[in-house]
Amino acid sequence: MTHTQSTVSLNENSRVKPGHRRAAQLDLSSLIGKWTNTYPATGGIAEIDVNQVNDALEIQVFGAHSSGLFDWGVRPATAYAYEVTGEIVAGFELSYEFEDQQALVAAIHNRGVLVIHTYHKFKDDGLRTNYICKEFFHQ
Amino acid sequence: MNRPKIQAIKRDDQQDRPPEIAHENAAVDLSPFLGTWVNTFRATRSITRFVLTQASAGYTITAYVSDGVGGLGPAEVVPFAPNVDSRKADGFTARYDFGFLEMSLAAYYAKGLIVVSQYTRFKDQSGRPDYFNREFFFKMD
Repeated sequence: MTHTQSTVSLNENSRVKPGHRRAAQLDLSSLIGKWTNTYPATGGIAEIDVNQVNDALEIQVFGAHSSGLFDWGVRPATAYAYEVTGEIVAGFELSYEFEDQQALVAAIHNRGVLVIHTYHKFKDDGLRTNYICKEFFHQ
Repeated sequence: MNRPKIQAIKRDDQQDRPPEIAHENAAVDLSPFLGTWVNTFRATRSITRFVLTQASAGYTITAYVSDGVGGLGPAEVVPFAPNVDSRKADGFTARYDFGFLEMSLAAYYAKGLIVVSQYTRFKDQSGRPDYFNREFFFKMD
């Protein structure tokens, strides 16, 4: 059965409290700039650039590669607040589509640390297991 | 040679390696962590950075705070390995005692970050509650 309601609250946190309303604009400023992996010898993401274009985020990821940095390209990201009526950006997510795999990048900001989980999903090559990589970044 | 019986309160306290490989009284090596570590949160109201150095015996930490006294001076560091079979540090503790205030630090390493938990106890009669906070530090090049 499909529920079609104008407003669906999946849980209490998704409900807008009486007297509250969605912020007019999300403050993205705390995320803007270059983020560097805290672990220099990483084999995952080496660095990530976060830019604001109009009211949205654009992300450029650089993978750690034996030959240097591998540019994953610039992609738009969906920004998230800490709460349903929040004004401050908490994190973002975006996905990359490559020939052999899909990479979902999910980031959350906590006291100057950007914690990024990358979900690597391979396209039936029969060799590699889908895996999650958790890494920390600083500015 | 008869080794003294090693007491343990839990399984993790027992060494899995043969006794001849384990070096008795060997110190835990903190040397990969020596240097300056900077708080990831620039607006911190607590420790902005700290420096780990080798001392004549063991290691010291010098912490710098956001306001007030600035540098807290050196304090002894006790390094800890991840298990009883390792000599490679995975964390450390340290303690500052200023008479009216005591600050204990408990730190561990995770993927390039040192996570420092600070336990601050007030020993004066100010009525301030003892408090805990946790912050993240990255190594400065």
